[in-house]
Amino acid sequence: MWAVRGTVVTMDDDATVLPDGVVYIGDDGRIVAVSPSAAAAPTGFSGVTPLKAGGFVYPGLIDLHNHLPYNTIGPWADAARTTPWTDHDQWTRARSYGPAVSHPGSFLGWVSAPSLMAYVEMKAMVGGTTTVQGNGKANHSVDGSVVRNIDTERFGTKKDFFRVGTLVQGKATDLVPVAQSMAKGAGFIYHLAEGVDPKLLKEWTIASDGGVVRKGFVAIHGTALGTDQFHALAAAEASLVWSPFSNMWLYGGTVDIVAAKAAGVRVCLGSDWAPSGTKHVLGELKVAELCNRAPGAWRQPPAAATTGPVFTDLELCRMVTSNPGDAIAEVAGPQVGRLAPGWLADIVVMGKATADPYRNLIDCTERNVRLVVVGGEARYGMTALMKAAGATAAVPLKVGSLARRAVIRSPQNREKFFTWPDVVGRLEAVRARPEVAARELALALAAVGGDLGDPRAPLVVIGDMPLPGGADPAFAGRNDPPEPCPIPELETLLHDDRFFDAVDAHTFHRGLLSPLRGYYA
Amino acid sequence: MSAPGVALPTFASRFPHLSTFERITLVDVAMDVLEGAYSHLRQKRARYGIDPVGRLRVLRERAESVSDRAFLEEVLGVFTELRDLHTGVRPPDPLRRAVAVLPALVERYVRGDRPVYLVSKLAPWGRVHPELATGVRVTHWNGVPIDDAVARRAAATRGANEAARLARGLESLSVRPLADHLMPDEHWVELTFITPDRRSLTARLPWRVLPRVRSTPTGAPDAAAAATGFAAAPVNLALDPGGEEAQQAKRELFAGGTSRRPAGVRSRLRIITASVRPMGRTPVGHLRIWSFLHGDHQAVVDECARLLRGFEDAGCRGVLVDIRANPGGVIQSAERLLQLFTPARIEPTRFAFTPTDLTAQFCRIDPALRQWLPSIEAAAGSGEVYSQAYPITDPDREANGDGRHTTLPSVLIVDPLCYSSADLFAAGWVDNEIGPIVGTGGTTGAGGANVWTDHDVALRTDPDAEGSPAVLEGGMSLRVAVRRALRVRASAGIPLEDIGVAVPEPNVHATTRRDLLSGNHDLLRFTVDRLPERR
Repeated sequence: MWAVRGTVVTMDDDATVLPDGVVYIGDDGRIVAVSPSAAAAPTGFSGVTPLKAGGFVYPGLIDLHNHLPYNTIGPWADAARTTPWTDHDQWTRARSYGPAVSHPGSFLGWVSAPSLMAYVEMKAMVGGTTTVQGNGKANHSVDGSVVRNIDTERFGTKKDFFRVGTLVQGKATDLVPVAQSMAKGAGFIYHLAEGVDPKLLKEWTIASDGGVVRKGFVAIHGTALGTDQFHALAAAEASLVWSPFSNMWLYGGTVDIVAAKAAGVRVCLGSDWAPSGTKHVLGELKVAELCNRAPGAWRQPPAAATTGPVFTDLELCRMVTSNPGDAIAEVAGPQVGRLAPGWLADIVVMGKATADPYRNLIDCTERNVRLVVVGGEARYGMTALMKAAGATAAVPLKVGSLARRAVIRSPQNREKFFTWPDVVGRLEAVRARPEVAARELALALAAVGGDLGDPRAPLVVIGDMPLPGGADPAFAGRNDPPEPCPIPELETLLHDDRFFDAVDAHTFHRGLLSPLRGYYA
Repeated sequence: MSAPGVALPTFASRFPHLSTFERITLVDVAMDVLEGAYSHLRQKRARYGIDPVGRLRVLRERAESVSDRAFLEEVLGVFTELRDLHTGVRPPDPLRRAVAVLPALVERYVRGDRPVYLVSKLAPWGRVHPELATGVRVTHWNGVPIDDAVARRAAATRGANEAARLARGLESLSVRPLADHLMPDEHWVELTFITPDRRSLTARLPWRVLPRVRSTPTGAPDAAAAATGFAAAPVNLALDPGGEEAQQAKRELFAGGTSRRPAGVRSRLRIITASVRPMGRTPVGHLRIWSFLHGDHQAVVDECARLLRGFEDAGCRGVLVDIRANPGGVIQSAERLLQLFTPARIEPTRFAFTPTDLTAQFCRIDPALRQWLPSIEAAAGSGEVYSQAYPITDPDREANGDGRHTTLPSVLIVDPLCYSSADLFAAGWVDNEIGPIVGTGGTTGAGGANVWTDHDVALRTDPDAEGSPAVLEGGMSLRVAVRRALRVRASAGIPLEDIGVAVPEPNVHATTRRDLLSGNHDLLRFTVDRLPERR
């Protein structure tokens, strides 16, 4: 048991902030108490000296929409396309999608899954993320990880809480089995109406007819939805995951966030994926704030003068903490997203750039992330804090110019730890000689007769994004590893000039994403 | 007097819409529950040569493409084939509790060898023709000879045997609970009748729909209590809900004035009426039990005991226990009454599960069902097709805990419309040799099972277990016969389903015109003649 001291931003319903507070963490990884430092310590903590974290103590950030296996790939734009796409089925048919995105992402998932997972999860964690969604399908159960993966997270039970669907179903009947699971308590995270073409409302009709629009439903994107659908989502106590950067990058427009708020929809943020998204939700939070200033301009076509702000800073911060936490709680009970007794000790400590805790979170960048705790374990942070938190398994890594330490578990064995050079070295080796990696994989699979389910088979992660042309990678040639292909340079962990230059060069967003650079100046 | 309810065309315009999810889930739940828990599936397949699960599977494939009405009619068709009033789907509102009614009730008596149909009751709002009156003989129904019209209606009902189908077919000419019957195609009925001066006339009777007829048990755990767990929601119903609704509708439409009764025999429960009837020199008590649908079975026992004492105080020489058209209800409310009439120990009906993974799950989860588990588990190795049978009514505390409350001799009156818990009551009456049984048909309605809803099933299954049935939504529910009833003592092991309780030939009374028009005059006299001497 241990404790973290700082300005505790609980994100509870009353938005309680303890200027000098302590979060007491039990051996089970859950919060025992949250109280002012002057108050008596809870039972059993009398000998514990709280770690002075030196900043704002927030719930760990939650990214409720991602496609992690593709996150070594940088921003992608098809050179042949000069106007924004209008729906999600178009760009998977672009000539460059396969070689630039789908093939390399898939290939890395097959030949170097452990390193790939460690890399992309660390990329999320350097932005204060403790829970993420969208880790792809693995052939073995994953025992260890850097961040919490909601797709496979059991929260200490044997329950499978969430069903996930990236590919949109064309018939309501295909959604009925999921809806039946939801009726028994499961959640469903589902891509819905992504794009700006009004015909995408058909996807809503199918989802509604298939019965999934209900408690536990998490609709991803919903850019084509309107007032009626938002009211239906709110009435069902369902949630919407908003990914404004990706929406603007691909379609030049995003969700009618004004209507969503007016309807009372619970809005969460997701950074989507690196080919069209920010690097983590701390970055996405800034994009949300940019949109919040003038949401009408972020519609496609732009709406007449809808001025912001629509959301307060607190409401924006809830989109990466208590809102997704509540969406998860609908299905799994109180777990993440708030700092309160009984909830998991998933924590991020940010340096103080401004006095207001919510303004501070919006303005903070990776540089301000001081400490990240998952389930009571310090996983990432400044060297001194990691040592003080007793993270003995932590290894050093450089995040840009920042010196940090991190605990990087092997996904196959939580007692085994990687170093950062292990992770990057393996991925660079694959980049350098993909045909060798393919041959090694073929030999490893041959040893088990090609049976991915064999315990001796190497860990393989199959990405959830469509193959070129739209096929589901989970079904198309599942047992056939992709051919070796060139792998793009690894996307860096930070929002850096390389990233912002790519943003400035892209035109679909009409320059509305370019001010993002200003947060990182 | 204005017509009750709403006009059929108005009601029809509110036909419910079912989403694809609701349709497929309905079919899935029905298939899962029929295969996993329906205690009569084997028997029904053999007896009627049907494949309800296969038919549902076909419907599932078409579920998205058919109209709402066609879908619900096909579902209804699947369950009609089972000839089991216990087992069926309750459609969503507004169909769920709606009953389509005509203002004229047609009943049947036998003159010589020929059935005769007459208007036995006419609601005030049904005086649509100056010469249409109670007692007129009916010859045609929408132009169809009345015999054929009744036969067609009988074929569309779920009666378990011929007598029951005929009785229900006749009833459904003018009273149709829309949870169990197709909505009438015609907006009105052309009823052709013969006047007393032998002219043939035709009256046009409009269908009306009573939108909400109550059929939930009074004094029973409600849905909110059921949600708190199975301890608060015991599975002890044996009921035809459609029959209950039909009866309620008839009472609502055709109830006459209240008769004067001694205070001691004025029932305090809606499900019972009691009267002292002068029959010759000494009166008899007439205990009319309309339904066993009352969750507080102790209250039912106490009230009947009080009424029986009232009969004794009124100097009655016997009791006519009349359960005609009783659709059943709470099993204990029926079986616990038997002890009031006899000094002998009552042996209650026994119930058996069909042994499946699902029924085993019920018995593991609900401690009250634990005694059935060993034989269900053993069936995998023994090949037994039913579990061992145990009573639902506790033999000591409930079936015999109150004891005898009258020394008056008693006769039971049944008909083919009495069903389920009423079948259990009749079987208990005969098997425990309480007294004679008299009937207006050769058997009772032949519904022998304990019926559960899909919520009862869900409460007793692990939602995370593979293959556990989903729960219906959209205001729909499913009822299924989960435990089959088996008779006791000399009839030990004989099922009630499809067979019912036989009335000895000499005790079968052919309904007369006077019965229909003069308060069962001949039937009661016939019954009184069979009252044993007081010992």
